Amino acid sequence: MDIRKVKKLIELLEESNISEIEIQEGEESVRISRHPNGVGYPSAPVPQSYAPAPAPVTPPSAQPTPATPEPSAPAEPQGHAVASPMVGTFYRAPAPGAKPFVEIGQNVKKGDPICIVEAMKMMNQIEADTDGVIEAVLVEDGEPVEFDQPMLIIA
Amino acid sequence: MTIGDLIRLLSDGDFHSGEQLGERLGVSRTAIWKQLKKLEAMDIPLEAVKGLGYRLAEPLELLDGPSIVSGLSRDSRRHLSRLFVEQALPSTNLYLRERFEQGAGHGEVCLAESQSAGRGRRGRGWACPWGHGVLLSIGWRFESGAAALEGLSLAVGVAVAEVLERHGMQVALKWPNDILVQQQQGYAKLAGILLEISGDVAGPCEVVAGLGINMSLPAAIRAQIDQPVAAVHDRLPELSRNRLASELVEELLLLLARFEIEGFGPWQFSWNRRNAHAGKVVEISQGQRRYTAEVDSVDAAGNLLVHTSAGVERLAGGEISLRGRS
Repeated sequence: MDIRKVKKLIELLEESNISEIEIQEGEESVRISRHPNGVGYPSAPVPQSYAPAPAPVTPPSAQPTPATPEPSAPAEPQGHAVASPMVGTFYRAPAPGAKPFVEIGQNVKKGDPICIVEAMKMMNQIEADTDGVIEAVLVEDGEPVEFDQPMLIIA
Repeated sequence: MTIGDLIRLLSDGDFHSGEQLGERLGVSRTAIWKQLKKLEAMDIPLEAVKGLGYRLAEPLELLDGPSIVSGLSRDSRRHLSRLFVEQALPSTNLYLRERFEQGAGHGEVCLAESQSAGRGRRGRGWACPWGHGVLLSIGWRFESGAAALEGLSLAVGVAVAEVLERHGMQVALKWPNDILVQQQQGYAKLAGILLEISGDVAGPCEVVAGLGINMSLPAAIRAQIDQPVAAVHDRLPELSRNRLASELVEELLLLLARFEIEGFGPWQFSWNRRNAHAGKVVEISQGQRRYTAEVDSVDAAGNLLVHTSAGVERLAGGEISLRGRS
C-alpha cells in the first residue's frame, strides 16, 4: 500500500474521534489504532525522515549524541532513512565476499532487498520501503546496529 | 527416471540386476550403469555382486510424505497447509521463500533428500550427503513486526532438542541455536538452524525456519568437515528418518503457533537448562571486535548475557566459540 495513503489515513484518524481504522484494498489491508494495547509502539508506522549528520556508528554502548542537530532544525532532510527493526548485526551482502545488495548511487525500487540485519541467526532481509537512489550507507558491513538506528539513506 | 527412483529401488535390501533396473525404470542398461556410477560421487556406497546385481551397501530410508503427515497430531495437522517432499533442491529455505513470493508459504513444510546450495549463517556452506539428513524448512507468516520475533531462533533450537531427548539422546545448545552432542573430546555439532525473515519492517513478515540434522554420516564425509560433527544414528541407530521428520514438523508447527501469542518467555528456562557453555569462558566476535567473556544465560528476549572485566554485556548478535575450537 502506498505510504502516502497510510499517512493520509493517520491524519484522518487524528482529525477524528475514531480510535481505530481498518482499510482493505484488494489483498492488502492496513489497520491503524490509537491505543495499541498499551504496548510500546512507534506512534505511527511512517518512517522518520532523516536528519543529517548521523552519529558515528559505535559498538552497542552507543552514547547520546549531543552533537546531532535538533530535529526541529531547519536543515532540509536529504532523504529517507531506513532504520534497523532490531538490535543485531548489519550486512551489506548476502554472504561474505558476495556482491553487496546495493551500492551508493544505485536506483532501488520499493521491495528490493537492500541489506540484512542478523539477530541470533535470524537473517532479516531489509527491503527498500520506497523508490529512490541509495544516497548513503551509514554502517560498516558486519558491525552491530541498534534498534531504530538509521542504516541507509534513500533519496 | 531420476536418480532418486533408482535409489528407491536399490534401497530395499535385495540385489537387482542392471537389466531388471532398466526394465523397471524404462531405460537402457547403459543408462542405468551411468547412473550407478553417479552414486559413488554422491557418497552412497553400492554393493555389486556378480550374477546377483546391485544393492545399497547400507540401507537408506527415503522420505515418505504420507507417513510424515500420518504421524502428526490433529492439532498440528490443523496448522499444516502443505507438505513438499523433494528429491533435490538448491535449498529448502529458498523453496519456501519463493512460495511466499507467490503469495503462499504460510504453514508450509518442505523436506528434501539433498540440497545443492544448503546454507548456514552468512553463506557458509552446509553439506549433507543424499538421504543422510533431515533437511526441513517451515514457513510462517507473523502479523506482528520483526521485533516480536526476538528469541524465535532459540525457541526452535529448544523444540528440536526436546524431540531428540524424547528418544533418549542428550543434547546441548550453543547460543543462539546450534544443537550439540557431548563427545569424548568435547561437543560436536549435530544440527544447525537458520531463520530467514522478509517482509515489512514494522508490519507482517514472513519467516522461513530451516533446519538441518545429520541423520547418519559416512566416515568419508566426516573427515571432510573441519569441525567435530555428530549424527543421530551414532546414538540411535534404529530411529526412523520419517518418524523423526514427522515429530519435528509436529513440534515446530505447534511452536510457531504458540510463539506468535506468547513470545520467547516459555522457552527461556528450557534454553538455559541446555546451555552448553554456561559458566565457560568463550571468545566472542562481533564485527571487528574480539574479546573473551564468561557465559551466563539468556534473557527473556534471547540475548546472551556474558561477563567481561568491564561488566555485563548483552549479546544480540555476534558469535561465540570456545578458545581454540568452534
